[in-house]
Amino acid sequence: MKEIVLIAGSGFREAAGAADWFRQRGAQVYELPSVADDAAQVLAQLRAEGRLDYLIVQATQWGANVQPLGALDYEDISRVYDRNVNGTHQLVESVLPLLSKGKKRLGLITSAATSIRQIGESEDLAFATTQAGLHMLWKLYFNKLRPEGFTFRVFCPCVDGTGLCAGQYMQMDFCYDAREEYIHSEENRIVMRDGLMRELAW
Amino acid sequence: MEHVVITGADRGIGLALCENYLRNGYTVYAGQFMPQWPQLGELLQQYPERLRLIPLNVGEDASVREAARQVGSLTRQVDYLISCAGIFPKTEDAVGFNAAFQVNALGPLRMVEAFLPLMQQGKKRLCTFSSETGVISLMQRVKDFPYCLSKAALNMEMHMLFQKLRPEGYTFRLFHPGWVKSYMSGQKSTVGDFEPEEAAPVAYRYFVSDDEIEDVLILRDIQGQYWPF
Repeated sequence: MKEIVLIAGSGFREAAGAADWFRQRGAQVYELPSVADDAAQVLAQLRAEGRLDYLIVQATQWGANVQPLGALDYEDISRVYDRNVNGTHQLVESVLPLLSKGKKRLGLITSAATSIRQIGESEDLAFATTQAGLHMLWKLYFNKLRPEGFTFRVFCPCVDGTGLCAGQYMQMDFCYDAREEYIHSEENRIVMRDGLMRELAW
Repeated sequence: MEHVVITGADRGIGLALCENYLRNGYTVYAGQFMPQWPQLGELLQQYPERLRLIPLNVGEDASVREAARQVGSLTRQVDYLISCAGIFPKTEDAVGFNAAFQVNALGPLRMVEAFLPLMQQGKKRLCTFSSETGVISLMQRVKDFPYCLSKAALNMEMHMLFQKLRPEGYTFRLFHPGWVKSYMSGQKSTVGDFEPEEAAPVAYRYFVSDDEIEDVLILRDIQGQYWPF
């Protein structure tokens, strides 16, 4: 059966690559250039499909007016957070009924540069705070939806393009055996990994 | 005499923290969001010489800048900046997400940015109330999305400030007060593990202590235990 995939954020290179990757493997792929775009038309198409197997989100927008401490642009920071966090939350809520009829996978493409413990000397607070918020959002959804059989991916593509691409990682199934102790199944964890499958600190 | 700015000082743990600092001889500039709330006024009667009430809404840029101007007209030096103001939105929609982000995440950032010029000559200590709800690795909740996201964003932001300001001599205290019977939802919670008056002395001792880990940003709770992120 053909897999149904929604890529939200295909305006970003990595998400666009994931769309291509799934399409090349026969999936029916729908795209939204940004999570903040009007999704009405795509949602209508997905409802006609009757299900959704994967929702893959990339909302790695940078601040439009990054300034150093002393001249921070709070409107810009707020705008980025609003578009990406609220846009993602609303989109997830909209497609959950369809996902629950499909493979039930929620994937987030993010950036290794936004690990809280490893944040460098970036001044882009809009980008960094938004990604931290999205990581928390995925964790909360994991807590809420994993008992219903949903699975979760949080992926940081390697900046030099080595290793897995986002599409590959999103499609991989990890070990899970309902007969085993809860902790013995990889699907019962949510972790952030890069293209070389290295776990990254949140 | 050292000078302390405290946000969210109207009631709850912010008010109790004001009392702790005043009792120990500090001059306190209390951020007042609710002038109709009586307790800060009562405290002012006890400490008319060392308590200053400063109108403040940490969710608004102009209000924070004006507060910094007012404090700057009263003192040339701030030693401690304590971000205690917080809200717990009732709705899990865009309004709730944005409100929590503005107050819980951007509020402390606005305060740091606005008060940095006054802190250059002081003790340079930045104290922030965070929460276990901002700890992604240990998050176990299935609701309270706006609040949890805002605290995760706050923890990120504190790391960025730490990277920037620690080399300039600033020291940081990131504190998880535990489950306090707070006013964050609008009225005082009837459930919780600690009264504000129990949590505030612990926070005070942690904030004024000079014998702490300084070169790694640490999230510490009311029991002295350390949290990851």
